[in-house]
Amino acid sequence: MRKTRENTKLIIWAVIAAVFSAVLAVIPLLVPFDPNATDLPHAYCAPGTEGFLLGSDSVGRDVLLRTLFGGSESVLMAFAIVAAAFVLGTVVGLIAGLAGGAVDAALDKLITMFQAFPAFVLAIAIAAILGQGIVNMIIAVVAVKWTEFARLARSLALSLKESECVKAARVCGAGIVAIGRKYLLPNMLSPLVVMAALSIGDAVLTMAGMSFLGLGPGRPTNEWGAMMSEQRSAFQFAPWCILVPGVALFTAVTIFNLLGDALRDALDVRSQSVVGAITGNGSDGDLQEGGPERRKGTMGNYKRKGILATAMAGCLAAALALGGCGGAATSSSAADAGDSAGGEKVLNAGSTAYFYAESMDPANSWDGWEMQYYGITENLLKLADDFTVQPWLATSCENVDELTWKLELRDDVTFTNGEKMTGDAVKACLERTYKVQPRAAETLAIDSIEADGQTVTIKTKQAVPSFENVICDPVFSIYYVGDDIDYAADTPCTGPYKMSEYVFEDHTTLVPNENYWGGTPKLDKIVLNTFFDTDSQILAMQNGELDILAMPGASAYKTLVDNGDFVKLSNTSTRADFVRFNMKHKVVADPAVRKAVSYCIDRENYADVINLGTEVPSYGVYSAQLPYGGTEGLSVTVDKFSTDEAAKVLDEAGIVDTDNDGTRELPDGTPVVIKLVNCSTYERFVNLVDDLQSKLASVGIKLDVVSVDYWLQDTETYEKDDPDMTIDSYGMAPTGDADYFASMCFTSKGSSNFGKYSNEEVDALVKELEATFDSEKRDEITKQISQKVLDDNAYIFFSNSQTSYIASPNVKGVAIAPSEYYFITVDTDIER
Amino acid sequence: MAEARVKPKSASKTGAAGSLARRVLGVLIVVVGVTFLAFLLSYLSPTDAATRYFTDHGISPSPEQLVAKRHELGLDRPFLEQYASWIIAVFQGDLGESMRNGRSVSGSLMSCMPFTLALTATSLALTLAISIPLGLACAYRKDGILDNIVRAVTYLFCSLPTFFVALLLLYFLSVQLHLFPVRSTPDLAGIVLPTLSMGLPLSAWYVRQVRTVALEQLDAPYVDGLRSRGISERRILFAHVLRNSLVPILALVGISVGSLLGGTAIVESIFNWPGVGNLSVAAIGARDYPVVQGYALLMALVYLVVNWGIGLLQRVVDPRIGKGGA
Repeated sequence: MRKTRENTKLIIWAVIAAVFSAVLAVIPLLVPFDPNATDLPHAYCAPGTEGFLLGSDSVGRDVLLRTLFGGSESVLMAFAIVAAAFVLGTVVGLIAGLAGGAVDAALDKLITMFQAFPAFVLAIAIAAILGQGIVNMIIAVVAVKWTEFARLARSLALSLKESECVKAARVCGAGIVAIGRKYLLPNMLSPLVVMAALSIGDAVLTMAGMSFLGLGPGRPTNEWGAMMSEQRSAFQFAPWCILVPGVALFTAVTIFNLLGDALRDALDVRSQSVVGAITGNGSDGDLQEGGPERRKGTMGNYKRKGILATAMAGCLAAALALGGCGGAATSSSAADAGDSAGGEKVLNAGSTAYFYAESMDPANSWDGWEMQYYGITENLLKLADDFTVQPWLATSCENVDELTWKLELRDDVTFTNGEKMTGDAVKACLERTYKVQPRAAETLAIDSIEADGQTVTIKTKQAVPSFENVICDPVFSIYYVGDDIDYAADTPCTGPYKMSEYVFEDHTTLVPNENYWGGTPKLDKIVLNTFFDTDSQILAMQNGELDILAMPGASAYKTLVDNGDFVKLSNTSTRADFVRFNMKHKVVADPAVRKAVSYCIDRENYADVINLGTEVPSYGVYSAQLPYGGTEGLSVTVDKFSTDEAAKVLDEAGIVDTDNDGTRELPDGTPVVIKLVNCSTYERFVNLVDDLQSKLASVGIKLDVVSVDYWLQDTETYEKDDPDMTIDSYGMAPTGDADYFASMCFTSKGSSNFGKYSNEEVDALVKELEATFDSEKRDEITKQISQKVLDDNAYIFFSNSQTSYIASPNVKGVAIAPSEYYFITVDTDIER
Repeated sequence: MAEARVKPKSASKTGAAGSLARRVLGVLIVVVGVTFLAFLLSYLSPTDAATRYFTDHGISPSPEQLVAKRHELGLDRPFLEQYASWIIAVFQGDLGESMRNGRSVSGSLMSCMPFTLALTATSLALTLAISIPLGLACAYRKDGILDNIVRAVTYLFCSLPTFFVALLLLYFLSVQLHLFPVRSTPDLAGIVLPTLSMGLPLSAWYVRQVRTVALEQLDAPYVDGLRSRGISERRILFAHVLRNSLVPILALVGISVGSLLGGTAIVESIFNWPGVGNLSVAAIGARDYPVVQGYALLMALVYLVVNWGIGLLQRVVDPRIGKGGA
């Protein structure tokens, strides 16, 4: 009777699971909509908005549609993972169990090895070797999952091998293969199948974890775990983006778990419960002797009751103590935060990207930049927001002749160790920087530095018209050099604040420099906190733990600024987001294709929707902030977003879809497929690519996206990945100086001209620019270069980003510099 | 691996010393295998230390510069030679230097390790404290109200990714109720939220397993025997069933240590908990392979040690284990 009821239950759940999977599998075949079609003006629409039954996501895709389409991906991928793990694990486990001896020992070690190796490190290894993608992610998850099946299969095989029927078969002369096939395998299947059913949900969750760590299937994907991970920052203002795939995931997990339970009951495999059986941790399956034949209770139990009770009590006590102390300690620490308002003035700042000093040595890596941002170091000269140069540690800078610059230092500056800043000190500092930091010589090739009292004379190797701007680069930060200094730990500098505590990748605490020459710092303490996760820094702002966020992403504005609790502080910067084409590749070497791509970039919505107005659309080359930037005086080649124009350009060039497969072909028949290698670090680029892919598809250009989580910043990486197109973000003129970017990217031999853009006229103009002193003439030449670059379309500068912060309204006096060099100043204050 | 094979059939008769030697050898093979995997990881990675060096200094290197730097770093030697010199250093405790900040990898791992161990321990304690009583109760009243409620909650947690659990906890407990700081402080207060984020989803899985194990025991003939002798239900449940369930539960702890240690990576990075998981996530983002390698090795070692310890514990709880089943 009971059996029948359980069989009915099994059938019901099996049917439900089958129907569920079948529906998800056929949806993509039957529903005539594209789930990846973006609609930027309709980003984050609430459920019920016309056209979006369950709302839309960050780029205006229909969440319900994506979830429905994602079902086939998620469930099929989970099936694929579980099936592969099942087969691989069963085969290995069976061989190990059956063969026994040395083979078993070896396989057992192999299984342990894979179990012991951290799963996501394995996944990174696989992603690193094979590249990112759906198949590779499946391989990565299988590489971890198969061990569970192998353990179970091995222990089942080991225990079954000792059963009467197998012994009998062996006596009758059955071969090892026959025993495996006829006696072991059929008896092993039930528990393995149960385990498989229970693993489906876990597989989807593992994939979600992978996506969180940036090891997901690559875009576009509608896999549920990836959807939840990619939209998680929206959970406060657009929770439907996460809840809809979440509910779908819950449904799937529940169905497959209930199916697993029903299977277990019907097949009566409870004595080989998943736990009992996978746990062949001992190398010889020694736990499994209890297998099918149950252990008998013994009277000895009583003796050990004490140990057990003690252990249990211990666990509970620990947990309770933890909860109790935790609660108590926390309330006091929360109170601390409030108290500090009365006693001392503390500014708490947070950032995921900007508080990343690797040491306290201004000459190490980019630490000079970090320390200047922190208000620890200062330079000889300072850049104003309009890129004019102002005195700082030097009161004047005189151009003696083409190669010689004379700087007069302030007489009242001391380093934090009490030593006076003299010409000799500056000379020693710069000489050390040139010795340990190769970027110094690349930025400014000098011949000699001479010091005389408070005068420093710098001779350059060739004429550097923009010397005054270049010397503002934080690589030329001024710090104290002496034999007794451990630079990495603490370097004496001249800024308004000095470091009092520094923990790499965690926080830097600053206290005022009492000897500061330029006034009295207003704060008693500044804590710069480094965050890994953008969501936790947003929550920390909401919880009052932070007063200001440096360079937050778009979701932070939506969560923090839109409701009026916090304000946005911003200023245009010279940073540009741009497309770089690989001019060696045939498809994008075609000017019509490049122009069509340019027409398909929705600059306005990129700035307003994807970046929530934190960026400014660009149709020119340099930022409009710069005297030679913007589009004024240039004849713009692409002046709007228009897929019609894009199609027209392609038609006119004879690039049409000759074989009616939806993708156009060049006149010689090559299909217009563009490989975009995209670094997924920036939320905005990922969203842009999702949109661009959909827009390009509508004009007949296929965009293949390869997601990586590193920047293609050097020739070798670039050539290894060999993209047709990449998206980058550079500060184009951090010192206000145009030839910095022009010589790096526009000249044929430029060090960052990875796409091998080459135009002889541009080369000649850049050379002329480098040798020109007159600023009006320089602007004029830069305009000419910009026009040529625009005409050639080898780079598309589609947006200028801003230097920005989100702060509580009582934060005052932080520097919002277009150069992104300065943040904390002597005026930085918090009004309580 | 072939030369290291042993003959288990005869070895099992050589007694405790032989068995210990065999186990140590087995662990050693696994460790070497893991080091090999870890080394392969950096060997096959797309950006090597030489490229990293230049990008770190903001330079686009010329091919000649790269060749010279590779030679200097010994990256142009044959694979096995590189592996050999690496593993010799590893056995001397030298895991190399971080590509990012030049710090000793073993030093930073060691200073972060106590935090990860603490978080793993508290999460496990919480998990056991929740799942053992609940699992027993669910098994005792199978298909009762509690069982069904627990099952539903279990499915809910089984379909919530860890990062989302963490996000929800932060939102409700920190932002709404102001009970805990979002940014973990490395003390008792700071460990609560990470512990909950790890412990709750894990408890969901444990409850189901404990329930299964307990059901198995409740069906055993000895329970009928005890009942017939008039032993109280409470005593049967807590003194006998629980005790007999302990071996499989310990085994469960053994399996989950791996996923628990791995799971700390995500949770630690969300809460800024200063453990090795946090370190490794940062290292992965920066493709800092020496650190990733060191992390992988350390985790594998911890996994092996913990499982070895659990094996011992199981022997204490149930002396029949390891005495040869057949």
